[in-house]
Order: sequence, then structure tokens, then C-alpha cells
Amino acid sequence: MAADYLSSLISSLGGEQEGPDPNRLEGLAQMLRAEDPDARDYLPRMRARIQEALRDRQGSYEARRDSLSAEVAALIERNLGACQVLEQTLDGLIEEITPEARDIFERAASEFLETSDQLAGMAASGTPLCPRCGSQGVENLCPACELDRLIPDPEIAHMEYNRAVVGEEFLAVYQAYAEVVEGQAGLEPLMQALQSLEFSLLEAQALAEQAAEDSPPHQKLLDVINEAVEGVNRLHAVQENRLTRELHQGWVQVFNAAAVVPQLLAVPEEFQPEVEAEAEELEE
Amino acid sequence: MTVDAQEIRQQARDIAARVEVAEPEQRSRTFFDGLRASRIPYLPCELQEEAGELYVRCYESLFTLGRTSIPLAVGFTMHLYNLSALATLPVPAVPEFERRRQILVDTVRKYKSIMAISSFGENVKHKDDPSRNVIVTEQKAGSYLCQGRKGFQSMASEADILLFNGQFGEHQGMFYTNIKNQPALVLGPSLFAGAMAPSDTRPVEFRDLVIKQKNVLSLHNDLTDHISFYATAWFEALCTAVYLGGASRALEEVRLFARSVHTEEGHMLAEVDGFMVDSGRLALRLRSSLAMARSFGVCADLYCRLIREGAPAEKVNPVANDLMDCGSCLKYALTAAASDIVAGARALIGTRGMSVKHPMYAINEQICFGSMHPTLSSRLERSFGTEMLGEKPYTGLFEWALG
Repeated sequence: MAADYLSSLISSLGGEQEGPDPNRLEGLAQMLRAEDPDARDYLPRMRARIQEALRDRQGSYEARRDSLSAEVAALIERNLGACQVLEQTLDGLIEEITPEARDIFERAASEFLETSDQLAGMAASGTPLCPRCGSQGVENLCPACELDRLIPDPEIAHMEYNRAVVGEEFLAVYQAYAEVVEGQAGLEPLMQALQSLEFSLLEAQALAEQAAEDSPPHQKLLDVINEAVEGVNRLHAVQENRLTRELHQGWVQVFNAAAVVPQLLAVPEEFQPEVEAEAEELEE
Repeated sequence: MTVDAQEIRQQARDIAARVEVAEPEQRSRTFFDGLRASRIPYLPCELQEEAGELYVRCYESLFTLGRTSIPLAVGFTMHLYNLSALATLPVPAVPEFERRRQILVDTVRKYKSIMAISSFGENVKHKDDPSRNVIVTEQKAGSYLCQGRKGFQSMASEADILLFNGQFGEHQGMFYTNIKNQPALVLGPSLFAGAMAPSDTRPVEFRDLVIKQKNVLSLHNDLTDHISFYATAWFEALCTAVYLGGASRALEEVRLFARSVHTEEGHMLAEVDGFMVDSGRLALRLRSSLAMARSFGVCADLYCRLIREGAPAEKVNPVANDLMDCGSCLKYALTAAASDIVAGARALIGTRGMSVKHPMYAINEQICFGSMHPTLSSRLERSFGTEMLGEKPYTGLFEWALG
């Protein structure tokens, strides 16, 4: 999906600092233009970074190029093209800094940064995008992919994987959630799974409320159930707010309760297959 | 809680208008997409304590939708009657049922779900054939295995939640489950061809469906019967709206015909006295039926209010009996009226109404299904005859309404 590409792109770009920063493309270009002799020291490192970035992004793009919209694909190809030119030019600059190579480097850097900004802008614009092809539009459903368009979450910097044994209804929600995020399915299967889970949670909530009056352990359990219900509500609300961020955070809330809630449901273990679900927990 | 009647009316009209112009293969999708985006399917959730108002709004909506498509509206009636019954019937003596029905009602509204109901087994079978009803057995505390078959289930492909009953030991239980992406529920081929095919009525096999305690609404005959009788009364009353809607459409076709055709003398058919009288007779039948239809809502409102107020059984029970009778009477009289009206319209329009593309063609085929819905007319006739000829003096009066 385009979001993988975008997130790695965004994270690779650092912040502003005083004077030309040779660790950034603009800074290095400025130093080359000023014929700063220190620039040469930074060229191999920049080449390595560009090579790594190109390899990662090209791999990510190749895996999804057929599903991307023409608009997004063209933008990414421009970006990758600039990246390739940068790599080749850096090879040359390491051998010898010539005015021609310097000009090509500046143009490629400009093209790279411009397309990077456009891609980052798409990710942060607040406009719902198709999680598979990256298309925008007024319809909630992408007509080509028949998937729900969602507003990307540019805050995702790092994914942490937690493991827990959860009930089958939690697992069903996780699978449906993961398919939405990965652009494999729309929100409808997620809503079906959520409804089934919500039946259980509300049943458990009612039982826990009865038991919690004189029982601190049940009160704690009730708090956990309420947390899960809130997570379900956040996931459900994505139909309206279209926020991928709410999808992630809703799931984290549900997952945090997942290991505790089934104990209250009085479902024999024989009928509650133990399965392992991986929770993608955002590092906030 | 009140709903804006005009808003609901307009939503039903808009859906009907869109279905009317949709391509045949898109009509079902247009119908259900329109419904899910409207408030109509969720009226029972909004009007839980106003059974009378709920009935009126549902009735008008189904009437409007029935004017456009009887089979689609009949299918949707399954959702409305079930949800109406579950939403409005208080059973304070069984808090577990109260809790679960409220969870069901709330989540149906939240997730914009459509509910289907499976028929109560095979009503017509050879005496030696074993019952093929769904058998429910408890596997472990809180877990139930459902096996068997249901013969008729409308909206089979569209519904999200299936309500069904099943034999649980010596009792009839009532259960629900999610139906979509449910591999243990296997739908059979569509039972009705032709003009009723859009009702999407299919048999459903329960192949080791495991449900949990949360999916149990009742495990005892008393409660199951209580809910089922009440729900059946809602169905009998509401289904008439669809068929009267079809009859109303037939009359509209008569009007269009009568205003487009002229006699040899140059008179518009609509101005010919004999045609006018024949048409008026049909219109009177329709209007009389609609006037009669109102009664169920008044009785349902009274019944639910009495239960909520904790009225004594001697006050509640006669109203409960009248409510059941009211539903049966409406179903008996109004589906027959709808059929008669369509037959009359067919006679007035003549052969051009038998053209495959003419709206009358489908209505002719569909209208006869009204009287075939439960409770069957012959069964009602026997039941009412038995009561009338019993030991007690018979008046037939509905005392809550006219006494």
C-alpha cells in the first residue's frame, strides 16, 4: 500500500537546522554549490542512504504497483526516478565534482523533494484515500477497488507487535481490522465482526455490572470491558469519521481487553478455540 | 421519542421511486441500500414505547414500498415485524430476555442491520416424515449446538442477523445468530421463481451451528410462545400493508388506463359511469381495508402499556387475545381484499394488463401470496368457528375498542 511507502518517506526526512545540513539533500546541494570541501565527506553516506531508500521503496512499490491508481503510481515513479538519478549522480560526484553533475544532482534533489512533499501531503491531507490504490474521491467506496476510502494516519512511526491468547470473536475483529488496514477488505466485514463481539461485550458488561456492586475484582473487570466497548465504538465510528488512526487506536483498546473479557463470558474452553492474535500497538 | 412522519413518508417514497426506475437486476440492491440509509428499518428501535405510532409508520412505509415491489416489501416485512415485536414487548418477569432483546435492538440500530426470521419448521409434511425442525442441544454450560433445517427464509442473502426457533428438549427455544459469512448456515436454492423471486426465499440448513448463551432469547415454551404469538400478530397485521400497496398500485394502473383510453363516442373511459362505479367499488374496498388496518396499532399500544404499567392478568389477557385476533382478522380480510381488488383491476384493464412489461402482470402473480402467509385462512376459520359455536354467548365485539 502507498502508506508504507509514504511513512518510510516521511520518516526519512529530518528537520530544519541552522546552516546547510549535509545530512539532507538540500544542505548537501548548497554545500556543493558553495564548493565547500567538506561536502565530499558526506557524499558516500548520502549515497548509501539513497540506495537503501531506493531499494526499500522500489520493493514496496513493485509489490503494489498493479493496485495503485494511475495518479499515485505516476507520482511514485517520478519520485523513484529522481531517487535513481540521485544515486547515479552521487556515484559520479564521489569520483569527481563537476558543475554538470552538480546541476543534475540539484535538479534530481528538487524533483525528489517535490514529489516527496506531494506524497507526504496526500498522507497528511485529511482526505480519504483508497487503502489499496491511493485514489481520492467524493465516494466513500473506491469505485475501482470497492474498498472504503480512509484518511491515512501519518503519525504511525513504529509498530510494536504484542501477542496474546484471545477469543475467536476478538480474533475475527483483528483479522477484519488487519484486512482493512492492508487494503484487502472494506469496513463491512469489520462491522460484522464488531457486532458479534459487541453482543458478547454487552452481555459481559451487564453481568459484570451486577457482580461489581460489592466486588472490587468485578469492578476492575467491568472497567476492562468498558474499555473494550469504547474500543469497539471507536472502530465502529470509522464508518463516519474515516480515520485510520481511530482504527488503530480502537483495536489497541479492544486488544488490551481481549485477554481478560472471555473469562467472564462463561463459555467453556472447549468451545472457545485458543488462538493467537498479534496486535499492532502504536507507539505513541 | 417521536419521529417525523413526513420524513419517514418521504424516505419510503424516495426508495420506491428509485426502485421503480432501477434495472430489474439492480432493484433488490437499490431497495436495500435505500432502506439501510433510511430510518425505516430502525423505527422499532426509536419507538420502543410507542407501539401504536410504530405500527402506523411501519404500515405506511410498507404500503408505499409494496406499491413498487410486493416481493421485496414482503421480505422486508420479516425484519420490521420481528424487530417491532422484540422492541416493544416488555417481559419484566424475565430480566435475561429483557437484557438480550435490548442488546439486540440497540446493536441492530447501531450497525444498521437487517434481521431475517426462519419459518417455524415444516408446517406441511407427510405424517410419517420426521420433523426437520432445528434441534438445539446444550453442549456445555453456555454453548448450544443447532442442527436441522428451516423451510422458508426470506431475505436470505441480504440479512445480517437470523432469528430462529428450535426444539430444545421438550421446549421450543428462540435464538439468534449472525448470518453473513456463517459457514454453518447453508442456504438452499430460491424457492419461488417468477414474480416472487425477489423475496429471496430459501431453505436454510443448520450444519452444526454453535451459538452461545448471549444468543439465547428463550429456552422455554412459555416465553417462546409469548414472543411468537405477539410477533405473529405483528406479522399478520403488517404484511397486509404490502398487499394493499400492491392493490393500490393496481388501482393506479386502472386510473392511468381509464384516462388514456376513449370510447368509440370519444368519451374518456374514466368518465364512463359504469367504469366509474366499478372502479369506485374497488377504491372503496381499498379505503375500507386501510381504515380497518389502523385498529392493530391501537390495540398493540394498549397491550404494551398495560404490561409496562404492571396491570393485572385479568386486564391484560383479554387485550392480548384481542391483539392476536386483530392481527388474524386483518390478515384474513385484507389479503383477500387485496386479491379481490387486483382481480377487479385486471378485469377493468383487460388484456393489455397481461403484457409481461405491464406492472399488472407481476402484481397478478404476486397478490395471491398474501392469503398464503401464516396464519392460514382455513386455520383461522376453524378457530373462530370453534369459538363462536362454543358454550359462551358470542358477540364478536372488541371491548377495548368498541365496548
